[in-house]
Amino acid sequence: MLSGEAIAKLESRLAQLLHDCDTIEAAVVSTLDGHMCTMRQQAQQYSLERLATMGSTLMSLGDTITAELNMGLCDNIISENQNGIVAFMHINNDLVLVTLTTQKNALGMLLSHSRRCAKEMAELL
Amino acid sequence: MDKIIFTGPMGAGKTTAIASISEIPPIATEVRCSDEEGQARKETTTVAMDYGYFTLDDSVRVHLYGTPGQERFNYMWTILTQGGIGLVLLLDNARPTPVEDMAFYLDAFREFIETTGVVIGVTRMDVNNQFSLDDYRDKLFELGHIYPLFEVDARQAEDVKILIHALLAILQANME
Amino acid sequence: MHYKISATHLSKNDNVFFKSMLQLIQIQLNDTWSYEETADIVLADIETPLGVAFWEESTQQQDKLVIAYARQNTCNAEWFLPKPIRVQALIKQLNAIATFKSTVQGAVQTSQTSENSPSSISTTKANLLGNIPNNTAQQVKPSDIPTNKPVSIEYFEPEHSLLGLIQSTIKKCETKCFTCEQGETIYISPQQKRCFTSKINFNHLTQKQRRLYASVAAQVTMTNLSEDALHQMAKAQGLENYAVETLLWLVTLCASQGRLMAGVAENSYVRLKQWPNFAVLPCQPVHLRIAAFMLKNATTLTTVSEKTRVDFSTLVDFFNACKVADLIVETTDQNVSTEAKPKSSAEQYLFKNILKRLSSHE
Repeated sequence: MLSGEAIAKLESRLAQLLHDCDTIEAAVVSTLDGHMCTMRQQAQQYSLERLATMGSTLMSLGDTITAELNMGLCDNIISENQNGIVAFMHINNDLVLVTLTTQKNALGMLLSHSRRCAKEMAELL
Repeated sequence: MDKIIFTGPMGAGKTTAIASISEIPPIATEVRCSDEEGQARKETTTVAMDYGYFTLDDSVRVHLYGTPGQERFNYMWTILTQGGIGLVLLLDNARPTPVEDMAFYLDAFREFIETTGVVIGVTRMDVNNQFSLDDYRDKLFELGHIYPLFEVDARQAEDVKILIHALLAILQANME
Repeated sequence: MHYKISATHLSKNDNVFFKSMLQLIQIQLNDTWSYEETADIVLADIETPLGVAFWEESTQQQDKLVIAYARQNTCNAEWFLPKPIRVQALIKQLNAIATFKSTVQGAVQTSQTSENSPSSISTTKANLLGNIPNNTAQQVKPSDIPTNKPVSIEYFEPEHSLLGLIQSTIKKCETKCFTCEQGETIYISPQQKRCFTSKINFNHLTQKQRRLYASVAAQVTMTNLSEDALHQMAKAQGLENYAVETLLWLVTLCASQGRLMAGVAENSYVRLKQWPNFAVLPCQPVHLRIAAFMLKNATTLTTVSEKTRVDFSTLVDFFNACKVADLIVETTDQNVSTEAKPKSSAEQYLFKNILKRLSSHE
């Protein structure tokens, strides 16, 4: 498990993510085996515990699929839905970042902010 | 789709059991454990599913799915059991409370078991014999169940086959 | 023992088939059987007039043991082999005849031994324990094993078989060695609840193992020994050790030979108390099928045989083994589960194919 100091750093970066891009409604960092590390949302509207675990499931499936097809590493998984978009991506070998927005036309913004956040989180750790 | 589901707590041998009878190297979604228990045992854990299959004479494939062990992945339990023909529950006798684990999984998969059937295999009895098969049997009796129960080594294909034999036997008995 | 068997009035095809079958099943027989042109044990086709005449004459003269061979046992023959010849039926029949023959001989031998040497159960076995000091080995005759009562060929009576001897030894908590002529040797330590013997391949017992397990009590030589001696012996001979329950189970399966345990009525309603502990009780797929059915249903063995499509003698062997393991409940009411799902031929076909697939790679 991560140290308190590392989690504090992640929390701080998540807060910055939601501050910089207010179209991202919620963000979660979980371990690859499905434990929640930290989460943040604009309004307290989602139960994010399950999302952390599902993020690990999906990223692992993504890794399995890309390995099966010899397509290298899975960068991210995007779930485009009737009422919004969810993006899943690796921070490093052990952590996953999940971000979501309810604005259907904000895919680009969601991905660019999330990727930068994931990259910086990896550097922080 | 004809599929047999393997479930049980982390480390009970679900992935290994599937590997021992699958025709293909199983597709596993295993990752390193981040919690203390898993790290202490230097283990990996399944976070989505394990998958393997064997082919019958008429080219029909019997699919073997392993569920993630931890309860936080229980949404996968629901997804994976849909359309399954029966459940193989593997228990790790070296865990602190394996008999309680059995009760937990039997309850968690109750609906699926009621419509299909279950067979129970206890692994790692050679590593830790704190509980005997009688302890599991007593618990089953207390819960009002009579399910087939075996000591198995998940690495041994013969042991896994015995589990499937027994599962099919009870499914057939349910149909007669 | 070595038995000779001949055949008479069989069609050419049946004759050839019988001879080759006899060779094929040797490993599964408790004794050695060979085909001879003339022998005291004869397989006679009683669907031919000459075969019937032969059978009637032999029955009257009682000079030969004749196995009636036909589609139906219309003559009520004591020894009967149904047409066409099937492996299991032939094995059962020949093993049963061997048991019968050895019982008759055993009874004669026992009665002679009893008259001449009341302290010994059979002819001497002086070298049985090899280099074990004399004071730890003592041949014994169990006083609770009746030796003058004829052994039933209709019912399985544990007290007249190796099983009874082992059970008695366990009850008295005595460490003992058991063997028989040309048979395996086993050492029982009730204290450790283990038995020591050479490696057992549960799917393919050796002839020596079968011979001992199926022995009647009179054929068995028992020797007392100390726990220390047993350990020395096990170590010196590199013996494997097994749970006593495993041995009792195997011995019952081998010895009962389709004969229902004495005292159990064929028409009583029976069910299984719980799943047999197949971790220590060697099982065949057919046993799983019977167990699954008998756990759900309390009914007669005839019904179990019909519903599971397992031949009666195999079922009886399994039933006896469960009875010895205290897994059988006798009830006064029949209770056949009505919750069963309707038979789906697709599912039945699938299950059958899965079983076939799993068996083919064993």
